[in-house]
Amino acid sequence: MDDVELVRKAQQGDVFAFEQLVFRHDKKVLSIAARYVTSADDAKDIYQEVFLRVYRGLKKFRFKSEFSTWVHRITVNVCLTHRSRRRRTMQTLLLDDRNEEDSEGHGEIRDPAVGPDHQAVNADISSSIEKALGTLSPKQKIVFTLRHFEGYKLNEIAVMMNCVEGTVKRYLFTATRRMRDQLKDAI
Amino acid sequence: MTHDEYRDLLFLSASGDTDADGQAVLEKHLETCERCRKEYEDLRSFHAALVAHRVGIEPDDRLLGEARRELRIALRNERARRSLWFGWFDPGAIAPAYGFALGAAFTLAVGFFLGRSLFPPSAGEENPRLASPFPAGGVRPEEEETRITNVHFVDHGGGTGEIEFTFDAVTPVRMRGSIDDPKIQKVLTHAMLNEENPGIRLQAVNAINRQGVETQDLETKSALIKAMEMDANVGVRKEALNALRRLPFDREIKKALLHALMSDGNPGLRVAAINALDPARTSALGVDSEILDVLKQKAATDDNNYIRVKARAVIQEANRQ
Repeated sequence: MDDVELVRKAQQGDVFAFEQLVFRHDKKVLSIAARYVTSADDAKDIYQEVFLRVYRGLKKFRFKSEFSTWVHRITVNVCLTHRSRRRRTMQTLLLDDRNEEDSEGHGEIRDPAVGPDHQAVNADISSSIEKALGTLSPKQKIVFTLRHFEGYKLNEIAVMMNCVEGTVKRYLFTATRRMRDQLKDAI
Repeated sequence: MTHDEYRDLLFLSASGDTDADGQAVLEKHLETCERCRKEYEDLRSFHAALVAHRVGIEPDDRLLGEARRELRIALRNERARRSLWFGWFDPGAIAPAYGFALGAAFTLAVGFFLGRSLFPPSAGEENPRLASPFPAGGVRPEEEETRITNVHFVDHGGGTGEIEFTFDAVTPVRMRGSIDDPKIQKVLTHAMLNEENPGIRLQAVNAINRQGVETQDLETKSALIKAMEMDANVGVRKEALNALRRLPFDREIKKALLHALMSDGNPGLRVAAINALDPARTSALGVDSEILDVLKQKAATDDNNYIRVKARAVIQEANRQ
């Protein structure tokens, strides 16, 4: 059964069809969320908010775009607003989140073949990259994340952000420049 | 081209976003421009470093499992906020025939409620019994229990003498029938996946579990798999796993069990998943490389010592065969 058929069924209230849609698209959503934020709880928050918005808005979905495109647009929007919420939280909470995520096994993956010194250096660089990402505006950060960590093409990002490719390029250029400035001593 | 335009091309090329023509133009320019060549090399090593040090959280199966479980709860709460009949849920989604029956039940219940509200029986008059349109053992509304909520006035009348309003009416429905009845199974699977109360979800799984293997349909199996993978309550997940064990072992069930073994946070359920994989030995599927890979991973990395030992034992047994 294709997405269109599942969406139609879900629009009529078929909860199984809705779940099928979630299962088809949720890995991408979680992946984007997980790369955008720094804690497992934040990633899950974004994931949940995306699919609640999809659920609430599904009846109004008129097939003017692919269902997946619509979901990705919502994901980008939720990421952008999520950052705004995070700004209001205290830095200590963020640190607590990181400790928790490590204890739950959702922290960065460490290659056992790499020695502890290298792991420490890698962790340090990753931390610097995260810090530098934190200095970007939400739009610059989402473009940078989608392009460099998720591998989306510029035209795909433009569709997700509902803007022209030139705008995406501008965000990417600015973000890259800033990131290079911030990281010139780290990498 | 201006130097700034070449710089734009540099950025795009370093991240792999140029087309063949753009790349050719850039390469020609790089042959003659030392400054751009240096910039290009810096950018490429910058991008390589970014790829090598991916940031954020690894979106692994366990995180996905947790996110799905939490979403299920959030969706359940969302549905609970909506009216059962007028909101998102459509009785037609259960089955056309059943939907019709429920629709009729609802209409009668609302009519009965309004009739009683607007024209109360006079003292001494015997309450007329509502004739049930449903056959014995079918579905019928619980009389006098219709709840009217969310009354919204569309037209207040304005002197015309007519008003218009909308409202939600929730009518409890009683069903009685064989557990083998597909209509009853539909309601049970719906309850199993969507009821807010874990006790009711557990009862629904138990009811399905009690029925004979022959009567399990694909939708019920799919619902049991979802419950095992995603229910927030470990008791429900475990009962769903037990129910799945009564079904013929197939690829779908194997996949679900491996998923539970890999992702479930509860060691008891992971042990049950290993046990439930046992029929693979005698099934046509056999203990294939997919099962062995997961078992090897569990034997090496599971937090729980018993699971590591158990996984090793199953691998040894499989190797002996």
